[in-house]
Amino acid sequence: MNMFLGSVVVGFGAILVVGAVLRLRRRARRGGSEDAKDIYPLW
Amino acid sequence: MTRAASGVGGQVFLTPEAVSWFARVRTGGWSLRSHDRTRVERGNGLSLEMLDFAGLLLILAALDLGVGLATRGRRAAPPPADDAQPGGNDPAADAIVSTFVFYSYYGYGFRPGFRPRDLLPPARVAIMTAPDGATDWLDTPADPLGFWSRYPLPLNPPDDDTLVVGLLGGSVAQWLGLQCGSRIEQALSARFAGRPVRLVDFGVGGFKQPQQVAVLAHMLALGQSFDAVVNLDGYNEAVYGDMNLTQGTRAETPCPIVVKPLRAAVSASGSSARGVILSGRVLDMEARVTELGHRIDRSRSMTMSLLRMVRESHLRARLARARRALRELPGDPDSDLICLPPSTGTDSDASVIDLWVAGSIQLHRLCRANGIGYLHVLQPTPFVGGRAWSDDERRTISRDTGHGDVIARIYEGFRTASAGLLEEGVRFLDATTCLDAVAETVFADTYGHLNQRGNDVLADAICCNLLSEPPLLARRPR
Repeated sequence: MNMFLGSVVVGFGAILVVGAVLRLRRRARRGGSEDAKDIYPLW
Repeated sequence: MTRAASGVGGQVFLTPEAVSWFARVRTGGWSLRSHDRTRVERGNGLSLEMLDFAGLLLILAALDLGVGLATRGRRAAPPPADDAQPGGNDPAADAIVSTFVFYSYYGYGFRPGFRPRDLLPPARVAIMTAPDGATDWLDTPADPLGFWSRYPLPLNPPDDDTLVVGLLGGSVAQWLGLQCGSRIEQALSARFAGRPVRLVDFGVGGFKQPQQVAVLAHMLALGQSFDAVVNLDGYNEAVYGDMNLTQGTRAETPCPIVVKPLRAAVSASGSSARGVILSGRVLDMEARVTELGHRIDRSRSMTMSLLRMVRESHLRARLARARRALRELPGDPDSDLICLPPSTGTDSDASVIDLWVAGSIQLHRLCRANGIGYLHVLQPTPFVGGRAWSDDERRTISRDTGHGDVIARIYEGFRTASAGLLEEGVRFLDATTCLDAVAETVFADTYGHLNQRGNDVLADAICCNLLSEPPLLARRPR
């Protein structure tokens, strides 16, 4: 029981951590490399 | 591993502990401690176990919210859709409102009233204004002639005292005029005992020769007065001239990125229907990617944000595929209604370089005939010159997507051919090395657009040349 609850919490925590890292990386890039290469040839 | 049938007909795999946990939750048979099977009932019929389960959900939700809020972007919400486009309050809500309007005289221009703010997302503005540039230029509306001019056009100051400098070129000129217009005016004015100077910006994204010649001729015909004209070009002539020839059109055709969708839509060839479909798909997906990006940044829930990031990644891949398909759509010279095919036996690099030289010489002659000083500036690019890229630039700039090989090859031709410009008496500034001494980030992307710092350095180099001997900018009779 405790193991199951633990894995739910740990799994969800991992999702949050991955999401937070991706989101912070996205903010750090601030529309930089990926967007600039793809979307702004004219601007 | 125990196999347990779910209530909706499907099957799920659960551990024995999980099965017993669900069973207890359903029957209220699970207490605070898993080994204590004593059922605890409250007065309202709810079991303590159920409250426990709800508590767990609450904790997870709080975690989700906490992480979501901690990583939430602080950028302002985008303007509502009605405000994003000029004429957005028009009752015909489904009308297509494009960034550009096709003009007979020089290909296209911005839709009157369209502002940089309508085009640039906040993240892009942050890059362009780095490290500490102003943002007031974001609200400059395109004037009725399609330029982001800070002054009504044609500008004819009533006094003889005011000096007017015109700036021609593509997007680098466009941003230089918007972001450094005041800086240039102040630098020039200081040299002329405080006489007012007006920098009039005729740069438009994607413009290339001979559009600058057409713009100057058109503006002179409309009565615009100039004391000096600066033509800042190079990148678009090289990359889009080369791209036009590759796609089976003449080098002087306006920027293929702008023309191609129209060409695909109205061409009578069999590919036109596919072109219309692809153009619509690209436009639709671009709008969805932008909207999704705003939602990701503003989302309070980390889980929702993550799901949207996955969706955005999928959408971006589809958008890239649709763009590539549109680019690679076969053209049919016999039924093309927009573009003329190149002359047979055209040497692509030579025709691109010749066009760049001829365009500048014609600007020079047009200016000389009208008593206007003329300066031709070859714009900087990340792929020419001896500058070491900053860390940010190394992440942003790609030789592949920035057409670095084409640039390096054709710029070499430009520099060699500039001897012909000097022979003709053209004042020429090779600005490809003007950023070499700057260590911090100056390029905003792989296409050679500059941030505020880069624009400041380029503006100073242009002012310095305009004021050097013999001065191009002097009191001229009206």
